[in-house]
Amino acid sequence: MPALVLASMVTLVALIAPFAVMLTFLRTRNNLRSTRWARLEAAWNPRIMGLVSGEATAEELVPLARRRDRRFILAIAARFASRLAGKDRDVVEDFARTLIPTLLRDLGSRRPEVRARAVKTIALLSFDDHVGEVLVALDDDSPLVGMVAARALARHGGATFISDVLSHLHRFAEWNPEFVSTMLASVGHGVAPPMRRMLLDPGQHPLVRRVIADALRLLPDPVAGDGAAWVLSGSEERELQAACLRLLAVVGRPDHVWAIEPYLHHPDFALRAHAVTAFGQTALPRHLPAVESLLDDPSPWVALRAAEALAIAGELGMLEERASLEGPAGTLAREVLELAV
Amino acid sequence: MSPEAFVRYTSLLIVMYIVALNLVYLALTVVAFGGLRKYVARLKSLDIQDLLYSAGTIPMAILVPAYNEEATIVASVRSFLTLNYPDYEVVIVNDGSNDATLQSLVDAFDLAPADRLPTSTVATAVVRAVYHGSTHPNLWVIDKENGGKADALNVGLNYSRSPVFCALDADTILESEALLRVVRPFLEDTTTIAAGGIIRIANGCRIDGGVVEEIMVPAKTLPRLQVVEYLRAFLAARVGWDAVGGTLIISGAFGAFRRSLVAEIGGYSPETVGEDMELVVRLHRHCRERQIPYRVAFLADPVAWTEAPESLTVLGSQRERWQRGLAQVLMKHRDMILRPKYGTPGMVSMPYFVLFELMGPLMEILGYATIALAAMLGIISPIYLLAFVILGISFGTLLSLSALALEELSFRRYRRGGDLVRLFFISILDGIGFRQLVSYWRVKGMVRALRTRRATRWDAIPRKGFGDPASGPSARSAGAGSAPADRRVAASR
Repeated sequence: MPALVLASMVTLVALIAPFAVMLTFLRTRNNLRSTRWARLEAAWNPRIMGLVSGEATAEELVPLARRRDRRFILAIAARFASRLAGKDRDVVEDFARTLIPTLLRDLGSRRPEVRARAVKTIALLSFDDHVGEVLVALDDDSPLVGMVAARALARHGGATFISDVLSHLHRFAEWNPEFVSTMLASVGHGVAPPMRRMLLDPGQHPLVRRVIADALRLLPDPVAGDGAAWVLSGSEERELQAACLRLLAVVGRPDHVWAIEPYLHHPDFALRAHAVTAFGQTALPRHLPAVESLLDDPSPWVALRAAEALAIAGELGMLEERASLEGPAGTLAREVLELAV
Repeated sequence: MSPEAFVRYTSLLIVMYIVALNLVYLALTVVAFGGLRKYVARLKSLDIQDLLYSAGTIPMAILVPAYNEEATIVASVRSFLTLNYPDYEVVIVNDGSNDATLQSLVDAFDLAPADRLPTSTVATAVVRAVYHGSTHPNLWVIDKENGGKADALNVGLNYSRSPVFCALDADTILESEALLRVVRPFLEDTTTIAAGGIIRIANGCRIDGGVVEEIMVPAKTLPRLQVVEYLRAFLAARVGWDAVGGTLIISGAFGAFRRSLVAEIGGYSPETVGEDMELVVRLHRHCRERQIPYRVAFLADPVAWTEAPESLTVLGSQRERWQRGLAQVLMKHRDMILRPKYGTPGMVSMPYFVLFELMGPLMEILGYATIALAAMLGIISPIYLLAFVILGISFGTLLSLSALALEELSFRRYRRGGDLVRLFFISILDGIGFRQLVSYWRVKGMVRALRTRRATRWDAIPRKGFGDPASGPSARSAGAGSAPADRRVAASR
């Protein structure tokens, strides 16, 4: 029996020991990496600071960057570059430019995450020299790499490369549309003319047009109102209709009321809700009874938007009348009045 | 068949079952390894700060059901109000507490009665009043009649207005970037309907002002065992299920959902104690039946810290409750099992949960009993008995150690060398007694599920709390408080 117990203990230890070895190995490796990273940080943070303050030059620093440390050094440089602007940033970019070839190899990696990271860093540190690579990345098999490239082009290339980004928008159908719209709007008003054209083009995918309508709203582009009204009168695509109504809520004028009004009674409550907001923003006082009638809409979202629209228009009388009522109608009126006050 | 043959074949069958169970766990761990590796690499390609400064970030509502939480609610809310997220509101639902939960909130945040129109109509217990924070415009407190955790969450759902809501337990501490991280799948994939984050054990950690300042392994054995258990459950099992598209559980302590869809399917079900799992299963069912493209994601980097039970009684009651919830959910949705139209959840995840998560504890207990009986009767040799015990311990230890390896390969939260050694040894101990005890509690939970179909509202789990930052500048360790607050919290699977 003692032999049996001994044998079982040995078996148990034999099964567990490899894991002990593996964990020790992993911990040691991670600790070594952390130490190396900390050492590089400690060495390169002051060096790059010195570069920015003019105490050192790129020519002096490049020979200090050992080949095997270059990825880490580029990561540190990227962190600096993302926080700097103007000449300060230029000197960091000048230094990083000579190290970038290390990352170019990563663009051919089999792992999309590695390619995406390489595109991000290359674009951040050396956009002008490697814009070709970034443009190629727009067509990468991985939508992640494509998105990173599109964001890089929008951020660093401004309106110059926006047509390339716009022509690839269909690839980002999976992404949250608001996220994509924000990216487009971040380029600034230079992007508005081609986007207006695409909004009007029925040949474009409805999701692309929807993203564009939202981007025009975020800009905001006052000229886009006419196009949105025109799209509303002809499109059957729910998401596109909703985006155009949102756009009109920001840039609409009284002469767009004709396009919005039919949506006040649309069977889809989400479209009614967007429509009432747009209507409230664009309509003249004589149109407001149409908004008042929506205070009793079966959808609380529509009723809420109607009350908000009245409050924004300064038409508080109706809300004050309803504030004394019991139930949802009274609650809604009091809530909106409270906020209006 | 002779009694000897019966016992022999039964014990053989059970051994085979346990081997199969552990092999499935091992397979999940291997899948999780690939999934984690890919995920960690992906994290580096679009960084969190990028998302933070993107105006496209989705507005969120944090829903926190609270029942008799006066000891910690103020500290929790302060912590929720300091999260790093551009656009969010905090909705606390006081579920008819009979202590001073509501008054504590009113006093601490200068709340005043307010009007707010509910925007969905999920049936709930009566709402008594709505309060709004004048100092924190994004804070809302809803006071309602007692109706249970699911009912309280449904009230929060009705009163929130953001497209995504995040359900949290009142005793949860979220890391400051947790919301940004958990919203990521909603940004990257428009079909995402739910996303869950990882729950980690806060016992032993140094917590100050509602923030986990220093991560340490708990000093006490029981919470330390749970650290390993949680790592195994989240880093191995849930990451593994996520990789194959079969996530069935998003913890009630920390999960984000697309609000409109949850409202459309009627919100949380008050009929089960496992309302978190039930909701996810119902979302799968809804989307599959209507052929709506969807994704339920689990992410290993958004972290919520929770206090683990430190006594066997409390832990036992928690595990019983979890198992009861599991049994109720599987029973309720049994028609999804092995039906191809329900895809991976119906064909793989649910059969796995029935075969291994529901039946596993029973089979393990039966296994020990049968094999011990067989050894006593001389049907099997002592070597066979010992081999069985070693097999059980070794597999359990191996899986726990694999989870530790996954942690070390990915997020490495336990940086101190001594912590790793402590976790290593506790992983070995995990298979010797603790797992068997947990199996016993789970069997009890199953039996209770069969006997009582009705869901209880809130289970009594006394906790010590993380300390109120408002009470003084000194930090203290979670679970190290002096007087246990006798409050009731819902289990967070």
